[in-house]
Amino acid sequence: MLELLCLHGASAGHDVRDSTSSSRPVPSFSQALEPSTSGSSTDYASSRPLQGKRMALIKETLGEGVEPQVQAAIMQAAKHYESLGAVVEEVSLPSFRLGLPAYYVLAVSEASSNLARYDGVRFGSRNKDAAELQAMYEASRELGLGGEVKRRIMMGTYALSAGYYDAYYKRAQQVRTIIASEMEGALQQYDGLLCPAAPTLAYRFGEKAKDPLSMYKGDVCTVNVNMAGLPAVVLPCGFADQASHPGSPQLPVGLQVVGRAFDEAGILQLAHAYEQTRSAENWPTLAFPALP
Amino acid sequence: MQVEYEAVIGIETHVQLLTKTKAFCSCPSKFGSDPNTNVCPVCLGHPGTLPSLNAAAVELGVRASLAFGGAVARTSKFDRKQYFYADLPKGYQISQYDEPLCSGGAVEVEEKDGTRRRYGITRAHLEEDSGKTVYGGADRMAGSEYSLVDFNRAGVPLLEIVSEPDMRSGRDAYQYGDELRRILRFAGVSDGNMAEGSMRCDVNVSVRPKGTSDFGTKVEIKNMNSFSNMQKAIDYEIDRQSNLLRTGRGSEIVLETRLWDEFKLQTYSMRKKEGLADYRYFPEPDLPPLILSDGMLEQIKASMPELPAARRARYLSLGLPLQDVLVLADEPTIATFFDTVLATKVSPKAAANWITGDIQAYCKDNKKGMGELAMTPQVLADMVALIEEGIISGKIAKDLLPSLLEGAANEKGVRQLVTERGMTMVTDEGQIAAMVEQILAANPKQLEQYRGGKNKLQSFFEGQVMKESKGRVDPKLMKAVLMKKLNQEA
Ligand SMILES: [Zn+2]
Repeated sequence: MLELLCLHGASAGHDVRDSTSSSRPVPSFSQALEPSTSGSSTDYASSRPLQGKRMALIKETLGEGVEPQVQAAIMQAAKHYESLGAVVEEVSLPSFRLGLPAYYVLAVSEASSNLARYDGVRFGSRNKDAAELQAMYEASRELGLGGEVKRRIMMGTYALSAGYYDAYYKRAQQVRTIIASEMEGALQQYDGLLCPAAPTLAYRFGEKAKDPLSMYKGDVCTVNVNMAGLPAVVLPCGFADQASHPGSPQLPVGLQVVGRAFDEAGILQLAHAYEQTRSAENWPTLAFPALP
Repeated sequence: MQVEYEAVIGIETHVQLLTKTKAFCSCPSKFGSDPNTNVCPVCLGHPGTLPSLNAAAVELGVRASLAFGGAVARTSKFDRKQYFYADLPKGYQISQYDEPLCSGGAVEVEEKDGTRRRYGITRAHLEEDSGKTVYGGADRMAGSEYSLVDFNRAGVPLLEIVSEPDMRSGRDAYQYGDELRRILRFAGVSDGNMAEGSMRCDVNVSVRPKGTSDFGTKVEIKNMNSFSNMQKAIDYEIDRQSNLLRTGRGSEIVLETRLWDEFKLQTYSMRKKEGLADYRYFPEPDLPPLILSDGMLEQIKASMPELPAARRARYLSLGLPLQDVLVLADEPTIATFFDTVLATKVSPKAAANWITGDIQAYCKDNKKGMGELAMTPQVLADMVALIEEGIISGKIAKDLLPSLLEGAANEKGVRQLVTERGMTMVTDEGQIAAMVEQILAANPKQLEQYRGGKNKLQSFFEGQVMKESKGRVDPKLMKAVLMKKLNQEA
């Protein structure tokens, strides 16, 4: 968390070249590491450092569609937070699962527009054989763009087309408003919302290449944070067996802590407390191959 | 009975705002630089760059809206208008779609006979210009071997002003465009230079049987570099469409864009429009909503200059004839010059005469604007004052003016110059009498004829004295002395 805090301290604040960045003053993040961890972590844990903090598990991110071993790790983390003095409850956000489709409508719409500049004129590879401009566009984009990019451009172009805009883009923006207000409402009662970073363990490279929808589904827990404009931090909260690949090494489970708008310090403190006190049991030492 | 047709005309005007820098980056927005020298990663649409709105463009947009009486939106937003073209680096233009900066307004025109015409404005919104495509080997895309793009213009701030379909003829359109341009120039919003493309008009023309209220199929005309060409193009198009309707060939009027050929004096089809273009507008995610504070709006309101209509009214109230008023309030530089002269309390009529007469002629001959004159307004004021005080005659002033226009009196002042050149009026009766006697003595034949009853010769003698004195004698006094001498018995 210390590294994350340094990085965040450096990147936070207004950027004159980004009109969407907030111009509110950046607070000091150093108190996020309070109370101090000097001394042994056992002393720190038993000092109940999160006394008075209120947290909640998001009900819609648990249960159906979530791998049991992922859920188990998250429940374990919630217990751990209780042991640090925090109150952990469950909160229901009924619109939460609408976030994924709404997010994909908005994201692909923007992507289709943002990627328009890769048309072979100034950006992207140009097909030089085309006889005229329109043919050059088509041939260049066919040549230069990958499968997933093309898929997103086509979906986004469709969603923004005359006659479909209201049904897709506009509706997704309405969903976004509902999600934001629901999450903000919950965060009036809680200092942090807890959920898995993803409903499953990491899948293998190429495993879902033929099934983009199931790939998109992996984003269900994280997209709402962007939709609602809230800060969140994801931290490892244990390792679990790969049910579909028995005997393979265990894979990490991510815990996401979502905070109030501009309360980065608050969630960093929650994450820091967890990181300092998590149980070392069942936590493999990661061995990285040496760099050549 | 022959059906009469009437035209319905609406105009979309793109006006380049007089900002120092572009709409969303800090590149200079000036005209005439070497190709692709006023560019940066933002206006070239480099991946990862973001727009940041130029406050000066907003201010000028608001000024324009206030100038033509539109309602300025306290909150408006930017949208992306998406289409592919080589001179559009991002693949979309940042514009304003459903929440424009300004709604409503009008351009009011006063005819020479005093009747007023009102042309409504639907809306005005901010947007960025595209780059400019130059075709190699031909003057347009057809037949060209290659094309090059100059991005100096890409990202230059524009205000698009959309009129109501209130015009019925080429002349109406001329009046609307001409007055709109004047308003924008007086408001300091744009230089309105059509030849350089800082004001561009796209005209929609349709024709319908007179008395009906449905619209006919509209044709768009582009590429007119002056209001007189716009007037000709519209009148040509009205004729073309009316003739097609009259001869039962109405189906040949199709949704299309036509261009004006100023040499052949006709419009020709550039491209047919297949249905409505789908620009896939959506809110620009890289820019927050544009919110105008009370303070900013009040500040702009307080800084609004006097606009053409108010100036005309003020000049008329000084007792000046409408013909002069139209010249004086035509151009900000003329009006400013005139107002500066007026401030010295010389006679408005005299100052107006000099400006609309000799000075305008000089400007025309030398292809200069009033703003480029070497002569300061103070010099003109001083010259008029010297005439009013009787120190120089009007004739002398006329002779003196060319050197004043070149700036001869800017340093030393008119009074000093007149003294140095010995141009002050001769008002000494004895001196004048001597001159008169000399002329009478030199023209004995005419004197005899006069005394024989040919009274008309009086003006001959006046002219001779004027000539002899190089226009310097006080005309009234000279006439009196001359009469006395002429009528003296010999
Ligand atoms: Zn630039």
